[in-house]
Amino acid sequence: MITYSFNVEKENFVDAGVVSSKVKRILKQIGIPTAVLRNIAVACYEAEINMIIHSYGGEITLDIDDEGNVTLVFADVGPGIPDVEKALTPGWSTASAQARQLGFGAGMGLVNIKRVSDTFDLQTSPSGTTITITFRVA
Amino acid sequence: MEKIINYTLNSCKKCMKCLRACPTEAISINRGKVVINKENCILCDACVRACSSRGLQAKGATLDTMSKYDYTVALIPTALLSDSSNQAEIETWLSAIKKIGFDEVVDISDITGAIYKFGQRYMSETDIPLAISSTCPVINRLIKVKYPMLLSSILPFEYPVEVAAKLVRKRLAGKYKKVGIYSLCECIAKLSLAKHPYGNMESNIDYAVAITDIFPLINRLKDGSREECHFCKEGIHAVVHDFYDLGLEKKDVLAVDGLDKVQQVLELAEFENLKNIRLLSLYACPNGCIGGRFLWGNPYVGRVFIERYFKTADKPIAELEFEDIFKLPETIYHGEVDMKAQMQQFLKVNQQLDLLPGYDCGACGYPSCRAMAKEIVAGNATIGECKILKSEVKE
Repeated sequence: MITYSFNVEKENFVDAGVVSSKVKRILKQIGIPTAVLRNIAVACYEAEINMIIHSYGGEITLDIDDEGNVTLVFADVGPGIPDVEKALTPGWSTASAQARQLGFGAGMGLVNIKRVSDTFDLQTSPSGTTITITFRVA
Repeated sequence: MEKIINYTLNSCKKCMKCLRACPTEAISINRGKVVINKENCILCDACVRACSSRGLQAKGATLDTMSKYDYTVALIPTALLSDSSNQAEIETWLSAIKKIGFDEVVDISDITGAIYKFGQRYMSETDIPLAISSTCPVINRLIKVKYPMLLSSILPFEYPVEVAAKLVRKRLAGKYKKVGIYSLCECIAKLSLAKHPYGNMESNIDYAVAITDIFPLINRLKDGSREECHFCKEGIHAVVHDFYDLGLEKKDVLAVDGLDKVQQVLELAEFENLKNIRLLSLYACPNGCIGGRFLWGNPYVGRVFIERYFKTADKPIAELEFEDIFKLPETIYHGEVDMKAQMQQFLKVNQQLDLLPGYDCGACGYPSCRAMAKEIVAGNATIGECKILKSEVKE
């Protein structure tokens, strides 16, 4: 079992994707099969961008167990998702104009994350949102 | 396949420039010798360019094999046009190439152009979200080594020069007993595609020759006579990074040159974050194939030169069937993946890595601390070889 954690800053668009690149590099070093890796990369990137655009910042934790199964936890400190059902609807987005200008905020983030992960859990309140996703390699 | 880039001098001064230049960590320096890992080498020529004592070289085949054939054909790379600003001069070169002893010189720009057009057709007839054009062997190898997730995105097409050789062989079959097909190459990677000298035995190309090696011959043999030749505009579009989107109706294409820039884009492509782009055309060399190492001119001057052929390029694209160019996409066979063993290995390497300084200085001869840690775990190196740790002990 090995754990890594990374900080994500609110609205730091310059570093958008940096954590996902690190996660991807680690998993490539381990030799996670490409089919699984593709899903992890897509989910991690979407979730990281979500944190930058929508949250007050937070932490991404990467856990890899002894068999190579991957757990990613995206924990931010607010403001929470007011309507989870809507947020899980394709195309629905509350992204700021700035984010949209940069090509983010197409409203597929959460939908895609849920689609590619093996398990998906979302807990949200005004004090923060935590998304936990897992991927099995076998 | 044999090793293509080799260290040719007796001893190297261990400046580590090649080590640092290599984009895939394929080089290590062991007991004063440059060692290139064949599996990871993508034939990009970064190390060849970096070596200050010119010790790293990739040699093409020589022409002394021509006499064993009844009929010989030279395939001309379209990128060669960037070395001259006018058609008349190119035609005197082609005449000189023929005088070397070739029965025929064959331009392949019509085939390159046809494959280029197939790329767009493939995109409009399928719904794959993103494809990568596949005419640069370096890019294909880079993806295999470093971005394996994208391997299935490479267009399933054969290299234009290979298609050209196949068609020439078909045309001449039955007419001559022994046909020798020579590919004149503008870059190191293209040398790898032929049967000789590097052993790609499935190829229809017999020999790959570095075009730079026959420039002196061309100079000696050119006498003002011309070999008439027509070129295909779409073929020129395909070999110059700057011109790639000119011949395509849809503009959802992105052409990128140079390995640094290419890797930035591949990094995004792995996140499926190239929105509104469906076709990536990637070139390892500056400004595309016209930046190949074996060409004479500067690729930016070459771009100006080759653009002048747009006016006169009147050869239509080759009429090819999909079967003519289709190639099964490459896959990586993992075998039975023992993830438990891989995790243990990763943790062991990390343990060693924690003991190393993490400067990735290369002084030990390995391209990074992680690369050294791996060798320590494998029993091929000891931590005592780290120059930084040694100097810290002394202090």
